[in-house]
Amino acid sequence: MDGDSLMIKLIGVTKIYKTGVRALSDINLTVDPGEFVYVIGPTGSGKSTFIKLLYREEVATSGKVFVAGINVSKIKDRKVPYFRRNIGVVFQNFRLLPKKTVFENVAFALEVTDTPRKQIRGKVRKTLELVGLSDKANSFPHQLSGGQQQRVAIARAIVNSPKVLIADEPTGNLDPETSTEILNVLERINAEGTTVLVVTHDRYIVEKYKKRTILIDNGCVTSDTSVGGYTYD
Amino acid sequence: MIREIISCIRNLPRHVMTAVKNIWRNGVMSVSSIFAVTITLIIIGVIGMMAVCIQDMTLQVENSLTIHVKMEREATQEQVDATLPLLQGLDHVANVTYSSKEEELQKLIDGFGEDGDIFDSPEYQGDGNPLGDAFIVEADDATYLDSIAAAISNMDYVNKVNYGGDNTMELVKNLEMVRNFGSIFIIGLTVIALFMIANTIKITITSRSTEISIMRMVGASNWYIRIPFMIEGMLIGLIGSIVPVIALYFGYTTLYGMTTNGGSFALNLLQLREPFPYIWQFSGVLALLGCSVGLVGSFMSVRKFLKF
Repeated sequence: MDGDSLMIKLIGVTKIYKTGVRALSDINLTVDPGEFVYVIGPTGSGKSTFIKLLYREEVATSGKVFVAGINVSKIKDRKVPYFRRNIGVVFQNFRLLPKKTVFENVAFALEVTDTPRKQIRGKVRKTLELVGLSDKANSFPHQLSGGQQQRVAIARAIVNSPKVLIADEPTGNLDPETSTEILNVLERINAEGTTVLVVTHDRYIVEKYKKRTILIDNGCVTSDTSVGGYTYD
Repeated sequence: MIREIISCIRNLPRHVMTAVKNIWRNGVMSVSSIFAVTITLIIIGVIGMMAVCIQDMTLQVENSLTIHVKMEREATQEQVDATLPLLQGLDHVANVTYSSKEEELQKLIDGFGEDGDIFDSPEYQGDGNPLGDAFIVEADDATYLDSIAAAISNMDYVNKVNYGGDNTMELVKNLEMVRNFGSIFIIGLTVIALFMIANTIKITITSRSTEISIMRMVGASNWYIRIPFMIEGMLIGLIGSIVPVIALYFGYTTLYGMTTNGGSFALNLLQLREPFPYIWQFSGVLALLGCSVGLVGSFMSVRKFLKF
């Protein structure tokens, strides 16, 4: 109910790990559908915890987290896989299945969601086209460059048309030129209506592609601007 | 839950494909798992075969142990006949055979071989027969031989009861011990083997924990992740049992040929079981063992990675 009209909504969210580390304190935040948002902050600021809460890798100690209208903290463990079908996640280290081809890696996200076989082929092709890797469909991940691998990961994340795409340091392992390439792909995806949330500390891309930027420092949102720009330090 | 089951059944061909592909693509890891299964199953197979042989042998020995009950010479035919149901009525008595005094004499003569001819004269026949009627009592469990013998010796018209005495009981006890140790050994070995196989599979799966975490990230349900691993484990178990089954087949038939009539190691004491269908049964057990260990091993190992 609370999160219906919003893509992401956090109400008074606090996360304290079992070790006693306080990662997030009293976060309040909303993201509209179709937004493109940067989440920035120094290492250890809690931004990783923040996105882990969004895809239910961690559960908030207190407060409420809504993603795509679903109260994330109320999802039972067994139901988590089904929830994750609403969101696409991209990581710094790509996390592709090394023994599967590019096509199989992307198709995998559709296979597990019981998509009919006929549709899989078409959807994968279309998505690979979107990220510009149609000619690499039969390659294995280790045969690709870092930027190409990341684009495969993005293709996998968006192939079943999730409502939100979360990218955790997607350019962390890439050079500036390749980063631009990735950002272009993310912008294209955003233009098609998917909400995109990019966690980064890559000053270059934040400066170049000005978007709403949320700064998390010491577990709190210290700055949130739709003007854009790298506002800390 | 129902949706998950339906999805699993519908995806079964795909899961089998995935499992086969994974075995193929994981090359060295699969080979090492299969190898571990092969080795352990061969060990279990050999020891198991030996245990079964020993079991058979000791049972053969025990079954050949009987109680020889000699009746009084003076006992009338009626009195002897009346003893039969009494013997049959005793606990743990499996079978009672009547042996007349004439038959007893013949056995004695046969037992002496050529020297037995001295008894083979008319003066020992008929009323001159020094022997009485006898019963041969078989027990259903050799450990009760002494108690049965004791009970019989208290009966009327019984002259002498012979079952080999303490030596026989000692033998029975030893055979029993050999059997029990064999069983314990087999069970212990099987448990160790299971741990070995399960551990190898666990290593294989741990090396693929990223794969599992990726599957979970793209929204694969737990069963969707688990089933290909379980099929893979089963296949590894099955493939691993091929060599032991073949080795068993040739090993046992050769051994059987050597120890039975005409073979170079023919023994009277040790009579091996007929190779068929025994080999098939034993092979089935081995293959099933390999399969189920693979299945359980991978189920347990994956479970660790499916927790939150």
